[in-house]
Amino acid sequence: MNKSEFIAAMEAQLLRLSKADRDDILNDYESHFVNGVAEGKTEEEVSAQLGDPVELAAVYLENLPESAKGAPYIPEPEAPEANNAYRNDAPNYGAPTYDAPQQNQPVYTAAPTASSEPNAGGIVAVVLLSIFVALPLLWVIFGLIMGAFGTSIGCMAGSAALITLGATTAGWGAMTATGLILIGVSLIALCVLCICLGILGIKGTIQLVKWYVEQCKKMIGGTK
Amino acid sequence: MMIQFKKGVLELCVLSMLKQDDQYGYDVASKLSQSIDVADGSIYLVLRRLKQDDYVSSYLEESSGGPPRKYYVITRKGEQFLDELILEWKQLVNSVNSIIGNDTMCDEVNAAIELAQSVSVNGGYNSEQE
Repeated sequence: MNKSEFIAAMEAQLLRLSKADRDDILNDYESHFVNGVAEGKTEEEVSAQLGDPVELAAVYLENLPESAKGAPYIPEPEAPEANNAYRNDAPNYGAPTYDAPQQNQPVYTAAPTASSEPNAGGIVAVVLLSIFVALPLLWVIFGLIMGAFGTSIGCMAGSAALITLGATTAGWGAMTATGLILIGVSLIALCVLCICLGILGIKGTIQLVKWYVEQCKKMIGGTK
Repeated sequence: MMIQFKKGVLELCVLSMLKQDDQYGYDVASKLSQSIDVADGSIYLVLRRLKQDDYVSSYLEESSGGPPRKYYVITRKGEQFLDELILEWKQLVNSVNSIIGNDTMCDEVNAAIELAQSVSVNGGYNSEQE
């Protein structure tokens, strides 16, 4: 069909929409024809490539925001395929009926599904788990990390003392002095190690807490 | 079956194209239909739906010797959505490949080959790959 036939056919189907919506949609196709013809195609060719205006219009009507949000793009396997057979030029975009509930699609869907209600059992479990397991564990980890930093300070102090001792007191023999200094140096290394452990501990704990929070959210029942 | 696949990935393709460049409807439609066998009309359906969901927005630009053209541009929200779509698509492809017995490494190899070719052709710029 030519441009005016195509546009008229679509317009007839879209009378249910507001004039603004209708004009907006029809303008897209109007421009499409103009561009196609500018490239040298005939209106018939453009029309054929666009697809069937009645079927296109039907999808616009189905795709009204209230009903279409969250609807799956790919029809359920058991959805009736009898109506609007899936031909290659059929623009039948999505399921024939949009009252299909938001179920988890085994295949790729673009629209996120609605969230389920928070479940009471999950909340109770999360609270109990947090109080009796997570918090104590967190305290233990905290203590360990503090210990690591404490050790590092101790090592630092000890190494400073030993090095000073070994380097300054004239009474020690050369070997003793060297020994003391070496022990002091190794304490510095130990100090650095403890600091690193402490920092790793903190990072690891942050990750752990994040992971835990995610698990809690899932248990309560919210979705992504 | 193929048709169901195609409808599911139209949003992915359109968003991906718009991320590379703002384009107007006719452009998107003709480029897409060169690669995928789909009615041009469905592209406008996709664009409208994406716009309703705030994944793309549009602006008018004057064109020489014709009415102003409506250009579509991807939004921040749309870019995030696109990342999710790409991730889901890759997972899907890998899962299906492993089920039907294709070597999943094929994707990586193909991607590497494409990247190498585009580097040599374009002098280093390839927008498709991560």
